[in-house]
Amino acid sequence: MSAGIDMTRSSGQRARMFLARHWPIVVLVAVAVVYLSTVVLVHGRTMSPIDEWAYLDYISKLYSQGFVREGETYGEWARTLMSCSGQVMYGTLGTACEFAPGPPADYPYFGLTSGSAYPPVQFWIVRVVGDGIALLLGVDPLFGWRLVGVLWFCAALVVIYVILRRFPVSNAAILAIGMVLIASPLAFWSYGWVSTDGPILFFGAMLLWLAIRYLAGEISGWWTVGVAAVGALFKVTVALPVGLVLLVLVTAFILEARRTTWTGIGTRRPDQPHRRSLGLIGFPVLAGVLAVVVPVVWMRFIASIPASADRVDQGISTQLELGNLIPQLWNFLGYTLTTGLQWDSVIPQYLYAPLGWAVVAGVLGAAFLLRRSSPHRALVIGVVLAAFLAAPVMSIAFQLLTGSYFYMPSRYGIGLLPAFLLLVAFVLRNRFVSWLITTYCVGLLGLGIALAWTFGQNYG
Amino acid sequence: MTTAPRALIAHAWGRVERFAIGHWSIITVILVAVAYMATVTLLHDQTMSERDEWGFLDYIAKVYSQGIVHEGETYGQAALQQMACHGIIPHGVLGAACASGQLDPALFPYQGVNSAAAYPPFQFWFTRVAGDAIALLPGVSPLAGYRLVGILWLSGGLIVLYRLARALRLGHGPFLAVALAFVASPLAYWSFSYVSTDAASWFFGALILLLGVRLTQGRGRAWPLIVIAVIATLVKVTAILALGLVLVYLVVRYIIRRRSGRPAAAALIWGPAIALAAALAAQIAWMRLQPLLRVSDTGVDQGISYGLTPPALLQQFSNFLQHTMGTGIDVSVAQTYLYLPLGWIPIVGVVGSIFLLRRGSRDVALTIAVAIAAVLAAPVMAVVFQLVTGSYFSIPPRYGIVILPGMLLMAMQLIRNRTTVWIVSGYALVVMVYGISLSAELARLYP
Repeated sequence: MSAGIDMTRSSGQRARMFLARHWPIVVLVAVAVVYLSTVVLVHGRTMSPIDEWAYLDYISKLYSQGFVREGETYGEWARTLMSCSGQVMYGTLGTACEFAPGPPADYPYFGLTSGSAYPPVQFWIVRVVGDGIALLLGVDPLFGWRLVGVLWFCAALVVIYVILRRFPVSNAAILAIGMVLIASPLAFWSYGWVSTDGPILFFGAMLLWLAIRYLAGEISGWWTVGVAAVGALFKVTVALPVGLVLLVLVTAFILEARRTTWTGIGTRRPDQPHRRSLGLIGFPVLAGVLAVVVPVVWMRFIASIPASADRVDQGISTQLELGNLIPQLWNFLGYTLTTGLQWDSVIPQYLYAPLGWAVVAGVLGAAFLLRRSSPHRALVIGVVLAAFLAAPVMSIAFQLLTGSYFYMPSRYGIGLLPAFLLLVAFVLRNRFVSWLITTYCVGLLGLGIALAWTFGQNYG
Repeated sequence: MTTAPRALIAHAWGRVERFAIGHWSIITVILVAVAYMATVTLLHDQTMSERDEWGFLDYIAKVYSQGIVHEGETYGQAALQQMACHGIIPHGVLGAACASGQLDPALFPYQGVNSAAAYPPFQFWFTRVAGDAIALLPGVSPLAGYRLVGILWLSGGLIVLYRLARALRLGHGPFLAVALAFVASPLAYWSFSYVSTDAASWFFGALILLLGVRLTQGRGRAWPLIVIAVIATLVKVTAILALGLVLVYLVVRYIIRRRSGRPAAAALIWGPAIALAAALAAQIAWMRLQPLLRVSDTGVDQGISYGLTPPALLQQFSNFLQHTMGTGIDVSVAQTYLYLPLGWIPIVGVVGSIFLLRRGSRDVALTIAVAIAAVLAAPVMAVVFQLVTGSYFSIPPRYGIVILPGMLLMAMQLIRNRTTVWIVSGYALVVMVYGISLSAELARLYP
């Protein structure tokens, strides 16, 4: 045994102590791994309709070309996959399987991929780690790539657990909240396939954790800036949790302003004499700028080296009107966790309604209950504001940056979920109810596996 | 001589002022509710609401001449004219063409047989008499008069809800916010601005709960509950759900008090139990009487009956909590997304309260009972319908209006800051403004 480790206890004892204290996260990770892996393996080769085709094409081309360019067509492997395995709900498209791969023009969008909008970072991770997993388990690389999502999910779970542990939340409540996330339609679609939403849950949790620690004076605000910049290399929706952090910290700044003795730019925070007040605004603003600039730089770069002049028109763009903004106000709070796809024909949405209730009751319940004396005032106010404002602000930003608008898919709010779930934890005090939720979610896991199996039977 | 009346006036005015200040929340809510609902109602034209208003109007038209509508009875000429010439929202005119001559009932939906015969006549008598009185006001047609009776039920229910909130020591601000949200809801729009049997259900649901709460506070007797139970059930059978809520409340309270060693009187449970039994007896008596009054063998098949399947039953568990307050008639011109957060209010109230529940919370038993009712009332009702009638139809979310007062109280008890009060109230007012524009739009679309 090396120095620094408690010599009086055996490793078995230490493991038992770790389990005794941290059993909820151990259970959650185990459940997540078993459930999501089962979903991945059971639904077969069929792709998710949430753009998985483009992602898989991207991944398959990495070793030969590094990244995908604008106006590029789907590769032969991806076209064969579409012809022979197809997508959930839409089935196979393009050339018949026995003649696959057909010419790109036979496929949806004339075989033009939209994957170039993403920097290659996350696909490289999926490819390298996924190939390793496939080698290790002896499965097809396609399944290896999809299983990388399970790792992202577990990493997010761990960070969410670390956040919840900072607050007086019971083990039963932690377990229930984790199960709500695992059993959700959002997890099913984001982690049962290759999805670009998957990593954003992790970045959302990291940003929330770092912001809470920074607010408490424990760490520097540069961490938030750094993680925002890295997250922006994954998907532009990381700007949403960055915006949430901005709202939380600016609210904290406003709430503290009265108790602050102003002495110029170097003014210190009232409760943290070694931290500057203006950092509460400066760091999140910088993080926000990076979260927007990084994707814009990528878009500029990728636009400068097109493979062809052909572009994909997904036919979902319109112009933003005031009437579009109102439903956006309720979009993420109401639907992010529970809306995967229009899959009522397979499994009715009402079975998942209570998951949505938990989120709404948590976020709005925390707002209803908030008192002036609460130590978490900035956190609750910031999260509630973000819950309502994130989607409309993003809609406006899209309109301004790209000149067109499309209905924000609810899954884009995935980076806000760790914060929503934290507020659920603030409200969920009753142990019996916590166990009730866990039991209900176990039932949903069964449904999820049944659904994946049905997909495997019908589309594979 | 001159000072005495002045002093009297000053004294009386002082009392009015104290009353107004002491009850500012309910006074504000009533003023807003009456102004809003009267505006909406008077903007309606003769087009009827899809929620069976046609049947109710026919019933009301007939009460003076025949007292009651019999099973298997066809619509009268006045009602047929109204359907042929004005129709219903959102389906428009149905049946024969609008003409001044005699119309053949057989050409109309359900062969022109009125399904409202399922209801005892009492509430239609009330609507007729009160509505005729209201129609004495200048510029108010008899139809508008009948519809404006809904405002009486709305206001009465709001006052009872206020009494409940006071009895549970809830603040004025939270009452104001949640009550305004209810008034703004699509449920209120379709229940109180058209002739609807849900209007009275709202009032009786609140009243039954108030009588139950007063029982637990030692401030009431059981017999008013029993009398109201019978009356409410004869108005609309869904009142039984409210009685079930009160019974569960008292049973849970008894169990909790016994387990914690506090004095618990089992005798308290007898009141609601007898009330429920009396309500069931009244309903059964009515159902026995109905066939004896039958005038023809033509049954009404609304085409909505089918067997109760397990998925249909599962769906009912989320029915009332999810849909009662926020779901209206699907009118294509309605911007239904405006209503979504209204539907969240009962969810936050019930689910939030149950999440927070701790031993020794102020009214654990009521919270548990409301949560049980919110989730189980619809599936229990579905099973009972299947057992009693041998067929099942998807329970309309609006039937949950009888237990909604309990859900609204749960939301009130969570609100602890003024910002929430102002945001919820402001949002409710915005939705009301929209409701008024919707009425104008509907009157334009369905002439």
